[in-house]
Amino acid sequence: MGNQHDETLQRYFDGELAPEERARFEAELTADDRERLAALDEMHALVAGALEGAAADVDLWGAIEGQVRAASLPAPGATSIKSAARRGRDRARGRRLFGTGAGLVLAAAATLLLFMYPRHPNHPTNGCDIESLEVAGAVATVIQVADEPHPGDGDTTIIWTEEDK
Amino acid sequence: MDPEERKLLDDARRGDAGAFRRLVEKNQRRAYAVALGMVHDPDDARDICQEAFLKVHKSLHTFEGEAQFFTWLYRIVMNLSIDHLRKRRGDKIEFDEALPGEELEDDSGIAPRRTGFDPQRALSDKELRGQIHGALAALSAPHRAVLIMREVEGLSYQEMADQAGCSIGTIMSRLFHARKKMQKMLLTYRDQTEPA
Amino acid sequence: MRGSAVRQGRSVRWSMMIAVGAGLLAGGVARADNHLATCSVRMIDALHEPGGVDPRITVLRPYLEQPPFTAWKSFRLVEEKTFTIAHETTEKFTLPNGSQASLTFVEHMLRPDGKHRLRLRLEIEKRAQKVLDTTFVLDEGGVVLQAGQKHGKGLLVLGFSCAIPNG
Repeated sequence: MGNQHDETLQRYFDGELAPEERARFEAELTADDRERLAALDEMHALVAGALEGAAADVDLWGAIEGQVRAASLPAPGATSIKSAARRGRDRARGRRLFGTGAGLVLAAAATLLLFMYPRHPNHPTNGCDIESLEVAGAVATVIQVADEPHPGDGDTTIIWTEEDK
Repeated sequence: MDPEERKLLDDARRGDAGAFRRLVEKNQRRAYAVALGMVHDPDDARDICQEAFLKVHKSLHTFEGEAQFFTWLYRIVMNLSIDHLRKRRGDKIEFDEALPGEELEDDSGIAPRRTGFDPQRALSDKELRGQIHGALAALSAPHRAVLIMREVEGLSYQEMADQAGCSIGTIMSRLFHARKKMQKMLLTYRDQTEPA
Repeated sequence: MRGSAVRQGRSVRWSMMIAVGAGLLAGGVARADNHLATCSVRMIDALHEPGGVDPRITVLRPYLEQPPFTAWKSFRLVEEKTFTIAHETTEKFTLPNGSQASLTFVEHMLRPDGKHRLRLRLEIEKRAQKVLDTTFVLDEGGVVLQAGQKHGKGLLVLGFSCAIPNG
């Protein structure tokens, strides 16, 4: 680091000096010190402003809502299509994910919830019903979106997959 | 923790997705600013923040409320950012040790020269913002981390040392050099774009 | 006598047709296996940059402008495929991110109101590993979206819809 004076100047700027030390330092500030402090203050404002400016319009909720709602209280009528314990992050190459003959076997399981919103239980749906869903290396969420202008008359289904990191 | 935040957390823990949404909306800009400062790429920063909030949501039941919610979130964002940088650069990032190569520079102090840029411009001027982001990206990851911790989050030296797992002396040294480098880059940019 | 044999033959044929028809109707859903399904797959890039919804996919706008898509500000149609598949056959196609997808026409049904329903199976493979396998029942005119695969700086959204031509 720089010399002792620089270290104290930085600690003073960052509010890290004990009260007596602070008072002593303040009493001995030179014009050069004040200019350096002003430069530090300016840089603080520029860095904070640049990052906060870039963050002004950020909106993360839309991208995570599906998974948050899937993990929150299930809606009435929710049915678990496939729920399996995670068997470890299976990224092993060459390992077969599917058995032969008897159907599909997935090494990396996913937990998913199906939301069914039977607003009109006796009314036939005009959309899509998921009957089975298996994923590997990801988490899947099934989201039903009300069709306008006839909400409940048949919802559109979104199969949302989020890849494992 | 303030009472409103505590109530939102309690409601979110009980499965209230709307309460969690309000927590996200209250904290997303700060989280994004930290991630962006660390990884430089807006899309990567967004991915990191999304993953951080989802991790938080999954672990709500483990958070006792002993610290502020954002402190908890911030740690997750920082760790994910560091992981991301490690993956990008092939695990060459050291966060625990001093950086001998970078610290052995000329021993002059903080430059006593302001850039003259209006900090308000940094909020809205894309080009200036881009230059600042570029200067941040040119710093090493440990230098960038201390600068963000101090300038954006206002953490104390002790808090930064706890976060980075190093001594206060190392934090002070990194901060000093990070500020010097940033100043140098911004002054160079200023001299190139607004000659005297 | 020939005439009575013919009458008997016709009578038998009618009886069989009535029996078959009754059998089909008894289950409440008619199963016909000779239909062809015309399906369209719209492959869409969702990006964070502003830009709105590509006019070619206006039909999907109501879904793309609400959660869970609110984080994405522009939607661009990358490719649209339309194909006709017969019952129990599979159409394979490549997605813009290089993954291989296939859509199988598993079954055709008729709702009591006469509307067509199709049972379809969508499979997606990434680098020769299956990453998604789903079977769903889709009403004619209905849309199912699959989203979440990364593609470049954005997200890949697939929109599926099918119809029974002349059905």
